[in-house]
Amino acid sequence: MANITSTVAGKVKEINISVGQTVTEDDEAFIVEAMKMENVVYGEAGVVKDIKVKVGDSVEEDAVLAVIE
Amino acid sequence: MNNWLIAFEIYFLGFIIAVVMAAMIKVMLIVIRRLSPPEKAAEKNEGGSA
Amino acid sequence: MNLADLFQGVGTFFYQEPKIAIARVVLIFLGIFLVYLGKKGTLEPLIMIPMGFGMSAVNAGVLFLDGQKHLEIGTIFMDPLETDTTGLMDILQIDFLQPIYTFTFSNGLIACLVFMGIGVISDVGNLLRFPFTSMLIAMFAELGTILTFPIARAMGLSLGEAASIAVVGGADGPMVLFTSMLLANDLFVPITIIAYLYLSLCYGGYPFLIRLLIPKELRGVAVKSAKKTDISSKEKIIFDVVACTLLCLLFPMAAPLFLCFFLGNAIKESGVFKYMQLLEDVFLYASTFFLGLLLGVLCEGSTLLDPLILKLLVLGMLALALAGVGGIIGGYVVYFINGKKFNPTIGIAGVSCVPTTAKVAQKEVQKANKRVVVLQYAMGACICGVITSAILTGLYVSIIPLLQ
Repeated sequence: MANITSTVAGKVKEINISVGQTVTEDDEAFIVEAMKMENVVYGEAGVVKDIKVKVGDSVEEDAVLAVIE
Repeated sequence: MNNWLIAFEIYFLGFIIAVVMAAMIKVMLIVIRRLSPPEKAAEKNEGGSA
Repeated sequence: MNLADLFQGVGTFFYQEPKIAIARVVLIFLGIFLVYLGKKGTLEPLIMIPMGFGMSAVNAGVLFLDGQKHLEIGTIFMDPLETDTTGLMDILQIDFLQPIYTFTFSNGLIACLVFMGIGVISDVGNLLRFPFTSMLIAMFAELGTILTFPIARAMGLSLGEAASIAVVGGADGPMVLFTSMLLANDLFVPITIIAYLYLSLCYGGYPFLIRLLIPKELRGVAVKSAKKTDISSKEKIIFDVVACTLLCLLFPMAAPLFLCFFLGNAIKESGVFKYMQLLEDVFLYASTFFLGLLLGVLCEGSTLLDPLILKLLVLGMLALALAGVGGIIGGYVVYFINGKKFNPTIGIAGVSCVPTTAKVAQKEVQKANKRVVVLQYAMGACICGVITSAILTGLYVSIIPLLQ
């Protein structure tokens, strides 16, 4: 069980996955905006169990964005 | 005074000040952490349950 | 009455020296071109759109200031060269940009306000986590600031002029403005404009430098980070206070800049939301806007025709190019010291054009390997670059007068 964690500190701009969806490591799961730049957070292999943030939330680096099983 | 000498003297001084500042930052962080262990324990607990 | 008095913008062409008239035409088109590049995104639009417009307008809107005598030609935008107090009071009541110029530009206030804004959007966390790495990269990135000085001197510039154009390598507009006002007052207009022009070009030019000096495999290296220590806001504020006081003690000539940057950062970390909004939304954008506008309006054909301009153009480019090279060398040094677990591209972020160079580093790294994120490290080096530029500016400003 791995989690999708944010690679940068910033604001969640887009959430491209949903609970129950099967994701791979190549999926662009989230977009976090930092320093006015869009950063893609890629997924982990597995099924999305929970999404911990919503669009507009501020997140720290390494913050858990989604729980994957 | 030779221009290259001036330039390198400034660079040298700058390097020293930069290193001193970096060392100061390290020392500062250690000192702050030593001075507030109760806070640090509280932060650790919060970090654990989040 | 003759035809020249009717449409004086055009008429004045015939009463000016040919080289000034030609300069005016060139600058009008250059201004339009800058607006275009700003809109397109090649150059930083926040500065270039007001600057381009100002440039075109000030070179087009020229008139005869003395009615039909046709001897005094100028604009009613502003007069940067007026020094007589009484004359200045007159102009303050007539030229619409003069108040902003006299009360915010020539005393460095606008540069300091921009610096305050930069402080408020910067996160010093990574600088505090990796002080030695950040400082190392940042000092290497000051190579341009150092090497350009003797080269400028060899090209015939005075001590103050050489120092001012060398500071362009520090990649901080406000600092160049500050230094050139203090050390090379006659040339501060062209030097500052060259600085801002080139700084806007960094975004477009540095990627090529990166690709030239760093092979693709190295550009995609992930940074192996140890466990992330949490840096609290309290620690950041303490750093702001200590660093500010220390640097002011060492370099009082540059104290206004230090005060503004660290105050801005402290406000960010203190979470006083209203002040953060004030600094970021009002101060930063207002001062950037007027800075761009004033810079454009300063580009009057007659003010810019100093024979030194060509040399300054070359030296400015040299300063920033060397800074980029130096930064990348610093990136390589850290790469080797850290056992190849570092990305040398981060070095370019040591050239302290916040946050532009950090973004450039991030973009180039992601182009080489889409999974790797270096933004945090790049920002650490970038902010550190501001501090090292400030240190060197302080040193120049303190030492050069002693040598004169």
